[in-house]
This record gives sequence, C-alpha cells and structure tokens, in this order.
Amino acid sequence: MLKYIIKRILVTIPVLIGVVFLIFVMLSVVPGDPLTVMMGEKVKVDVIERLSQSMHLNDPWYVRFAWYLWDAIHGDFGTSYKLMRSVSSLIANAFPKTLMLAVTAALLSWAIGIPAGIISAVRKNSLADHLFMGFALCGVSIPAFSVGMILQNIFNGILPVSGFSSPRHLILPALVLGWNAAGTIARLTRSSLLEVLEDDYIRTARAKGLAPVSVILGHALKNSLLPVITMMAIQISSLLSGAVITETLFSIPGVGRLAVDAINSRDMPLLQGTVIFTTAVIIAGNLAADILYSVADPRIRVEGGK
Amino acid sequence: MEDALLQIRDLHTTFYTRDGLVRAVDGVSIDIAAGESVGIVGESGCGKSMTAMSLMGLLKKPGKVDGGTILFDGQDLTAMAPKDKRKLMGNRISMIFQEPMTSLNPVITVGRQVQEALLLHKREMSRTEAKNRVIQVFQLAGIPDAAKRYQEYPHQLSGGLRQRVMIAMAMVCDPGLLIADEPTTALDVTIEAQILHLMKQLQEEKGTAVMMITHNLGVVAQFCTRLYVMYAGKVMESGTVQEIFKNVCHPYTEGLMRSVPDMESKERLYNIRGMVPSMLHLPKGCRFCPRCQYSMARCFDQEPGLYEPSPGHFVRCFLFEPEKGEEKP
Repeated sequence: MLKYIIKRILVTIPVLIGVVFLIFVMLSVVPGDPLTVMMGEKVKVDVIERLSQSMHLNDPWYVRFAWYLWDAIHGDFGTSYKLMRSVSSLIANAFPKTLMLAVTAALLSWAIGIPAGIISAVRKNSLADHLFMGFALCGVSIPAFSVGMILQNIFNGILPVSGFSSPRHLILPALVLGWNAAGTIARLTRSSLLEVLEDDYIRTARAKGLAPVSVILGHALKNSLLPVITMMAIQISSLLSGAVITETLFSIPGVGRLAVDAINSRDMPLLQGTVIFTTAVIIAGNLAADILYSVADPRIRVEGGK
Repeated sequence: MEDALLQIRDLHTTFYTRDGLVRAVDGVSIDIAAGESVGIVGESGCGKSMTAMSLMGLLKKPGKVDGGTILFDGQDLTAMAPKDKRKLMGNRISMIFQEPMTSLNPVITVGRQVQEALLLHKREMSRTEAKNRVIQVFQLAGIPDAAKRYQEYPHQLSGGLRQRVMIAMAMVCDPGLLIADEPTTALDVTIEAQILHLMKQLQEEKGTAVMMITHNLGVVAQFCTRLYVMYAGKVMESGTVQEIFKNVCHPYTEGLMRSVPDMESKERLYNIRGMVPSMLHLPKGCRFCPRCQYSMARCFDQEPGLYEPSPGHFVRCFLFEPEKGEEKP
C-alpha cells in the first residue's frame, strides 16, 4: 500500500513540471509589458533597463523558464508585479479563507447530498424523490453567479453578503457552493444506489431474512458510495483551489479572488503561482480519491498491493 | 400429502407489466415432505424460478403473488406479516442462487456474510461462537483452510468455492427447506458433481428438504426422489423420479428426455421444435400444443386437466384422460 502511494506521488512530479511549462509558455505569449503594469507609463529608460536585467526579462523564454523552475524548486514563485509581495506569501495568506469556505461547503453538501440521494433511491418516484431531485437539478444547473446574486438579494440585511470577517460571512457563499456540490452528490448517490439494489448480492442479503433497512445500510450503501467517493474528492479539490466566481461575488480574499485579480492586472507571476497551486491541489485530491477508493473496495486493494 | 413440510396450493404469481398481465406462475401446486428432495424442471421462463421467488418473497416489481396459499410448517407464507416472514427466511427456509460469481457482496468478507445470518437468527449466540460455527460449517461445506477463507473477500475465491460459501450460508442455521435455484448451472462439470455430492451429503446428514430447480434432467435423476415438470407457468407432469423416467407420459417431458445428449448414439440430437411461447400471448387450450407432435384438434381450444395414469403420477394432457383411455401412438 505504502509502495503504491509513493509510486503515485512520484508520477505527479512530471505532471507538475509539464503544467508549469505549459502555463509559462502560454503566459509568455500573452501581450503586455510587466514593467508598465508595475510602474505606470512615466518611467526613466535606465530604470527599465536595470529592472529588465535583474528580472531576466531580456533573456529568451527557455532561459527564463529554467530560472523560474530553479526558483520554484526552492519555493520561490516570484514576486507579484502589482502587489510587490512574494507570490508564495500571497497564496499562503489567501488559502486559509478558501480552505474554510471549501470545508464548510463540502461538509454541507455531503451531509445533505448523501442522505437525500439514499432517500430518493429507496423511495424512487415518491414525492420526496421528486422534491430532492428537483432541488439537486437546480443546484447543478443554475450557475453560481446567479444563485449567489439571488441569495444576496433575498438575505440582504439578514446575513452579511460580502467580506470575510466572521463565521456568519461564510453562510451564503457556502450555501452557493454547497448547493451545487450537494446536487451532484445526491444525483450520483441515487443512481448508484438504484443500480446496486438490482445486484444479485442484494437478493442474497434479502434471502437471509435481513430487514430492508439493514439490506440498504449494511449491503448496498458501501458498494454504491464507491463512485461517490471519487466525486467527493474531485469536488473538494476544485473547492480548495478557489471558487473563482463565488469568492469574487462575495468579496472573499481567497485563492480564486487572487487569480481573478492577477488576470485583471496582467500580474503574470501571481497568475502562474495560483494556477500551479490549483494544479497541485487537484493532483493531491485525485491521489486522495484513489487511496480512499482502494480502502473502500477490497478488489482494488489487492491489485494495488501486488 | 398430509405430512408435507411445504404445501403450495394453486399459486398464482402475476407480473403487471405495461403490455399486459404476465402470469408467470399459473395455478401451481407442489408438495415437499420433510427431508425429501424434489426437482422442478423446465425450460428457461417456465416459471420454476418465479415459484421459488414467490415462496421466498423475493419477487421484483411489478410481480405479485395474487392467489393461492404457501403453507410451510402449517403457516401460510402468503398471509404472513413481512416481519414474521423474515424470521423464517435464511433460518428455516434458505436459498442458493444460480450465479455464485455475483451473489456475494464484493466489499464484505465471506465469513462475515455467513455469520450475519447466524447473528440475525440465533440471537443468543455471541460473535465468537458464531465465528467458530461459521468456520465449522465452512469445513462441512468442503472449503479448505476454512479459518483463512473466513476473512477473504469473494473475488479471492473461485466460482466453486463461492458456491460452497453460498451453501454454507444457506445451511448455517440448519434450515428445514433449502431451495436451490440452478445451483450448478454456472459451474463446470467436475465442480458440478462435487457440489451436488456435497448438497446430497449435507441433506442426508441434516435431514433438510431440498427443492432443486434445474433444467438438467441428469441432476434430477441423481439428486431427487420426486419431480415436477413445468411449462409456461403450469405443472405438466409430476410423480416419483423412478416412475417418470420409466414411464414418461407428457409429450413435453418426453421431449426433454430425448433432448439429453447420449454419448453412444450417432444420431442427431433431438430438440423440441418451436419456442417457449411469449407469456403475454399464450396459446388457447393446452400451452404446449403448438409444439406438441401428438396434438389433436381439441388441444387447441380446451385446456387439459390433471389426470392420474398411475397412482401418484399426474399428467396434464388429454392423451391420458381416463374415459378416452387411448394409448399414445
């Protein structure tokens, strides 16, 4: 098992380097002069010359890439052109807010999505099923910005609609993100459980004389949650890498907001930093999903151990 | 039969589909005495499995038992509350299924799956006692390294071993009646012989009655003392295996027997012409007549009753109607 995990981690290294390379090249092609972004337009020529030299801006792209990679390995992702602070410290500052939001939204979505999915599957085509699936469909299909704005309108004056200074500020953005995630989870749990309930071993469990509740909780649920675990890991990693729209809408200074600000101000080092961070989080999330999956499913465990 | 353990009387099971009513089991009566092994034989779709599913209460929607009684130990299973019925299932009546590969839960160890039945029905038993009992039953079921196998998952076991686990699960509470729904169909021939031998042995040791559902007459000849032949939801012929094999009456049973491959014969293997009729569009009159080589005009619009050409041997065919009394050609 440990060997398997180490192998998986090693595989992520070339993936990360590849991503860094792609982002670097893409952002190098984008027009715009970083020095203009930093200093405005009225700068002396010798200052430009000196800064270009020290920031390696006159070197060819592959030399700059090598410099970037070398620094990145040492934990230095450059300095934001606009904010003049190191990219790592900016992300380190923003991440706790994103983390709090992501964890709240994820817990909310699991606590609602999984039971709703189970009830919908067991009481298929009942009123509860239609109600839950209707809510789930809305959560999945209404874009975050409209849900967010509708909630802001409704709860304006009752709950804080912008900023991030108290736990109360978390409620609305977590609702926006959680509703969407819960919708996906509920629909997946329902369809997966319905499929499992048709399986032969469910018939065996019923033939044993088990009550319907024991059959569902004891025999069907664990099997039906296997695809849900994967979905949960994908969701939490995308939440952790920053909910761009929701964070912007609710003025939460998280990683997503940081990325949007970087785009708006052509702040290349900061943008590179946030994108690489996002990639790393998603890779970690997938790894966590694979490990969890093999814990839950003995068939995979044995193959992974061999 | 008055001392029957199981008495199915005029059982009707209907599937309420969008295209119409499908009478999968249409007035079936079956008796099984304690300790007896009875074969239910027929082609796919003849209602033999549905009879068992009705008995176990495992019918899937839109199927429903809508007539008849199933007396087990004098209690009517069709009139019982689900809660009381569950106390019998897996305990006094248990079942083995056709597909050993998929009938076990892939994420639970086989030991725990068998132990579950024991803990459910024998409340006084502690976990350790139950575990020891499961390992003991595994050994009885011919599972080598029973203690090690106890904590393995189904995918680590072969098909034959999985079916032995299913048998252990069915036998762990010492049931009065074991329903085996084509227990060896998915296994290869050598394993089939071993599994049948094991079931025979357990049956003789424990005195369990067995309802053997199969399409294989060889299995019946080897395993059963009495036999019911089903076709399109009805019992066509019933009697002792000895009597029916010696003096086969119903044209359908005769066709089944002639369809068994014979190693010595050089002739082309016989098959019953035509196909099992769609249960939605059953022929009027005798259900077998469109495929029957002896069919007469009246077979096409009248349904034959059950006639008794010799004591205990029943046949649903006009050829054996007493007053006509004519022998078949």
